[in-house]
Amino acid sequence: MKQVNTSIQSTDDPLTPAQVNSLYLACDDTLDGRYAFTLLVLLFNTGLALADVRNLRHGHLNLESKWLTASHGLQRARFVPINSRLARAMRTWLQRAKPQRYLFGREADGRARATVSELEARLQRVAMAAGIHFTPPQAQSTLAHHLLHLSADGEMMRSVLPPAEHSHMRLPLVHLPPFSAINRHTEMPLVAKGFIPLPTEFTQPPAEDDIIASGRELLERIGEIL
Amino acid sequence: MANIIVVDDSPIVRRTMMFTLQRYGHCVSVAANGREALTQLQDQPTDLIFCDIDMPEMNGLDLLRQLRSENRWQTVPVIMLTASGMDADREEAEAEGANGFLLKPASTHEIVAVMAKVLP
Repeated sequence: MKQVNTSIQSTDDPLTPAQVNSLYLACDDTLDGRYAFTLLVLLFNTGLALADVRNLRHGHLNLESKWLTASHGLQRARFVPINSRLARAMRTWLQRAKPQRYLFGREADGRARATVSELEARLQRVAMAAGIHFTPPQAQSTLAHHLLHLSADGEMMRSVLPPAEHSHMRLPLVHLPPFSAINRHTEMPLVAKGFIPLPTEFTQPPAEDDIIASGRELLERIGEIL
Repeated sequence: MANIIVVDDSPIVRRTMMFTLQRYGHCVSVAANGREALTQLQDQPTDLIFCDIDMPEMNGLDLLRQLRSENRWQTVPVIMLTASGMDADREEAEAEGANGFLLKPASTHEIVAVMAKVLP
């Protein structure tokens, strides 16, 4: 048997299902606890980065067709399939917190957009309570690790966990006279060369083909593990 | 067995590449950007680099230029990990001396095929 040496940064180390469960159990039944729990389920079951999560709004989530739209940058967005476990957690979160604008805002009410640091701080509090070293990139690494051990390969990973640069579409741009203001739909400044992207909820998710169907099966199994 | 560095800021891509390459018995280390990769290159012999283009701190094109400007790393094959719709970056990487391209996260047969082209 060949000797394999691996050096890998500690931040990449995947968590075991038991460690993930410990994080979940460290979330209490307060609104803040439910916030952290739902955020963890989202991270471990989609591989989204916090930079994507902070932009999520109601129009980006479709619990019926089980897709969410993750915005990346000003002009690009991608569709990410979600499994039953995450759909249940999101339903509970929406019913309980009733976030207004952002699904994971600065506060549970979702009125103001959270920063990445604020989301990280919420997760760190849970990690400390659970006694586990955890960083958000580990959620991505953990999901990838378990998908690969369920026999996913790169091609399938591309369909179910598209990297941020893999955009399913370029958002159509609307030309506006440049002036300094914030668009109330996108929260983006209207000064960037006089163009703004249309909100992503105007777009349709990709057709469900065999690869996506297989990917969804794997994601459902992930929901039983993570 | 080859000594390989995977450079990508996405933990998902790093994990996928590492998993596949290890299954073929290769020695794999990972870096989250070009600067981390340069540090690793100083410390270890490297036969092949898989490198993302768009990364924070030091991107893949800057890393590629640095490698091609130094004698000790000039001949190390570099496979760029690309996303769809980034033809301009791809052309630039080719001009800077990239040895191949992979759509990420790459499938096993894509990785094996590109490695067969660049490794002796």
